[in-house]
Amino acid sequence: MEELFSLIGAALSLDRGALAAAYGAPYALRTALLVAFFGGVSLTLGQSAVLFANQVTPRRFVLLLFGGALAYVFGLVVWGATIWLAATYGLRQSVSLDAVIFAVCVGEAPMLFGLLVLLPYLGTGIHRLLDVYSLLVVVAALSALLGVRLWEALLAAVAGWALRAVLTTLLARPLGGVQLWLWRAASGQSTRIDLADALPELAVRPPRDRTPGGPS
Amino acid sequence: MTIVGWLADSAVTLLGIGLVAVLLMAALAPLEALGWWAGWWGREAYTPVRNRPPQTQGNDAATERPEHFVVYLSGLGTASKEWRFPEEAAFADRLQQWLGRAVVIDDVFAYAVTIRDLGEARLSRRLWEMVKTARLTNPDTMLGWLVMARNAFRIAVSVDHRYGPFFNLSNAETIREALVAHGYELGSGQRVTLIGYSGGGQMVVAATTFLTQLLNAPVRVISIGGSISSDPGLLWAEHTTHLCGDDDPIDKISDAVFAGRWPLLRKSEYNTAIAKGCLTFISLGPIGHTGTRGYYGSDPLPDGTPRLEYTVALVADLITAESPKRPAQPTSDQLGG
Repeated sequence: MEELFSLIGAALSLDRGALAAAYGAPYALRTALLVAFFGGVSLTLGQSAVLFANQVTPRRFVLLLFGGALAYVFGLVVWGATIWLAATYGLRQSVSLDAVIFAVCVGEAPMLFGLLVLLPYLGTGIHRLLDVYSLLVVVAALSALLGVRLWEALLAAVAGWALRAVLTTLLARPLGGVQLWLWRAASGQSTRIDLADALPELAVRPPRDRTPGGPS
Repeated sequence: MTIVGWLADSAVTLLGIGLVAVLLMAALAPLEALGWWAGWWGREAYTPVRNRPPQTQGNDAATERPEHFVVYLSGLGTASKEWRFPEEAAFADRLQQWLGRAVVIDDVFAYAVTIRDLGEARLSRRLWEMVKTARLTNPDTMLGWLVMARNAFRIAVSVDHRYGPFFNLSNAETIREALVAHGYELGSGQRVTLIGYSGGGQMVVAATTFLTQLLNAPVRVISIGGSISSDPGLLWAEHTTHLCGDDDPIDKISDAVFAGRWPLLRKSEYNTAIAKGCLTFISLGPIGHTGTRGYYGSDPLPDGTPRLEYTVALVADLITAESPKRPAQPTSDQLGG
């Protein structure tokens, strides 16, 4: 637990020395994955409006909360892998995959405040701030662990992000199918409505309990 | 150690606790409407508290259909549909008298979904009951700020594009129930007028999107010093008239707080509604937001007209006007009546 809090402290303070030291500690990668998981849970809670909009039951809500966090961590690992690919083959840097995944996961420390995204009216802005903060932590951690300058770390992060975006686009159809299958299994809903679509949906789709006192 | 000394030593801790409490209060605000939509809990049905029968001209009141259906939503200081600020009660009563064959409904509590008023919130029942009791004895009690903060977060929920549709739909459903309870015939296509004062301005505009669809009838909106965001309801309403006193700071605050009102965002609902003539403004002159110099205040205007009478006359004219875009200013005869 102590390692977890000191890692979070090092990440939030953007302390490159402390981040490098934390990577040398035993179970460093596991601790970083834990930070990313809790960050994912907090952010999923912050964005839970979409789960409510899809009328999931409380039991499935909890399932989707933790499932969403796991998927979030998986996405981070993929991002770490694309950064590693971009740094190794694009920037000709010799880097360890573990170190990159550690940096990306530690970067999720600001997302521990992801619950604040739930705040009405301010939440969307807070989410953007957390995204920027998170990127800064990733860049600081990459710079510290790879021994490169900050702009090089930023370049590696952006190159990895772009590579992941290309892969996601190329694999959109099969990935979309898998995502929908996972969504259906976890939520029990056949379709998924996004909040942007919610407004026209409301006019034709009744809430589960439209009439007071019992489901319609 | 004295109490003052202890307070000084603990100031940072107390501020921290206060900040966390406020953040928690704000973060939990959207859950009520979202949980209702998801079917986690039910919404309380509307039950009338006050019944103002329309003033009929003949003897057979039952067969005479009201000419106007008006729903009034209070500002964010309200904690209950049973209790009203005396000046708001006076406004609703005067409006009813002025309109005659009309139904004026002012017992819809717009700041909650699952409860009828704050005193029914199970978790915080004692706290809100204490606030309500304090309010009954002293309308200006400091505890009122707690209610205002709590309701302000509901306005933020209504404004937020992620939560607003659910919260505003629930308000529209409550308003529909209130209208039906007071004799409105669904399917009649009869126009409904929504009036919102202060925070109620946002609530009525936001509910309009759904109320128009639920009733399949035109909805006219009147905002009295309302704090209105850039909401799709402005484009769903038959017309929205925003009344604002020169001494009321709410409009300037809303201009700053709601990005959709910034002139830069020309395509926002707010700016589109102005461009299309769906939203018009009427300046009420030297009138403030609250108190004796407010919209419902007892102080007379420079020409001797009581502020309350002036506001009532103008609102009545907007309700009865054939064309909502060109409301007639009340004449001195009307103000005397």
